[in-house]
Amino acid sequence: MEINLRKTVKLVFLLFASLLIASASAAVYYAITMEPSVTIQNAVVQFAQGSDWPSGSTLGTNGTWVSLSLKAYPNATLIYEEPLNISNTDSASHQFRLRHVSISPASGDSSVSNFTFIRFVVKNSSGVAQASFNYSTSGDTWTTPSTMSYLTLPASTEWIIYVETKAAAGAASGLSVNIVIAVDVQ
Amino acid sequence: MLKPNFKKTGFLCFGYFILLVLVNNIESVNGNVFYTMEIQAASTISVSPVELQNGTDNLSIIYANNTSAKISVDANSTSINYTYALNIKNNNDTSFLVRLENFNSSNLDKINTTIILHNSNTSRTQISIVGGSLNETGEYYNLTSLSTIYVKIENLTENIQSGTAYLYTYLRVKIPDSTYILYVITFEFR
Repeated sequence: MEINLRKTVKLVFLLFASLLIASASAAVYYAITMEPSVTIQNAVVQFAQGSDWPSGSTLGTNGTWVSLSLKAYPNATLIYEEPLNISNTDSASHQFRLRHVSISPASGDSSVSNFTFIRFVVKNSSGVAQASFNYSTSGDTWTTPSTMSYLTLPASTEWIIYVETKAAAGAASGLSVNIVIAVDVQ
Repeated sequence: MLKPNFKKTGFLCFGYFILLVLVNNIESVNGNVFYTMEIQAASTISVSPVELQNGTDNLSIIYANNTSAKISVDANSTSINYTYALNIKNNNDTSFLVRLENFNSSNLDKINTTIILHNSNTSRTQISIVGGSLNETGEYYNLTSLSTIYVKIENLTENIQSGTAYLYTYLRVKIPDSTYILYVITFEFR
C-alpha cells in the first residue's frame, strides 16, 4: 500500500492546530474586581450594665462582650432583676435573639445535678417578659434552650436581661457552671 | 397577502426559549447583615447569707442547707401565741431588708391569725388571716448584720375543726439594688 505523504502531513498539521486551539480556548477567562472599604464602627446594639450589675462581672470594651459573675444558692431562688441590659443606640429598630453556644460541665458530669436551673428572661423597658431562655437539669443532664425567635428592639431603647438561679438542696458550695450564649443582631 | 415566514418565526421562538431558560436559572440571593455578641455567664454555688433555724417554740422543720422550712402548729378555739416559731439568722456583715410574701394557700377559713417578724423589741406585721381572707402588708423589716429575727404567730384561733390549713410563703431577702433571694416557708395549721 502506498502512503500519501502529503495527506499525512496535512492530517498531522490539522491535529496539532486543533490541539493548540483547544489549549488556548481553555485559558480564556476574565476577572471582575471587588473593592471593599471596611470602616470600624461601634455596634449599634450593645450590652450595658444594669442596676443589679453583679460584682465581679466584666463588660467588654465596645459593649459587645460580657462576662457575668452570678451566684446560686441551694434550695433558694436567687433573682437578679436587672443585671444586664441590651441597648439599641440606633435611630432604627433592630432584631436580636439569644442562641445557646456551650455549657460546662457538660451533661454526664456528676456535678450537673447540683444545679436546678439558670433562667434568662428578656424583658422590655417596662419589665414585661418578651422571651425566656432556660437551662435546667434532670439528674446529670442539662436541658439547654432552643434558639430564641428574633425580637424587635425599638430604636433608642434599652431592654433588660433578667436572671434567676437555683441550686439543688444539698448542693456543694464552690461548684460553678459556665454558659456561653451568642446574641445575634440584625 | 403577507406570507408567514416560518423559518424566522422558528428562530425567534427558539431565541425566546433560550432566554427564558437563562432567566429562570439566575438564582436570586437574599442576605442579612448581622453580627454576634457574646454573654459568658458563670454561676457559682454559694452558701446563702441568711439561714433559717428552728425557734425556741420548737415548731419548725428545717430543710437541707437551712434555706427552707415548715412551721407546724395546732390551732384550737382559744387564742394562742407562738413568739419564736422560726429564727431567721443573718450570717453576713451586711443588713438586709426582709419580708414574707404569700404565693399559695389552702383552707384558710379554718383559722384566724397574724404573722409577724420581730427581734423581741420591734416588729412588723406581715400577713393577717381573718375569716378566710388574707391580707399581706408588704412591709420590709430590717435584718441587721449578724443578727437574728423571729417569726411570731399571734392570736391563732381555730374557726373550723376539721382539715388542715396551709399557707405557702416566700421569705424575700432583699440584697442591695433589686437582687433578692426567695426562701420557701410553709405554715401548716392543724
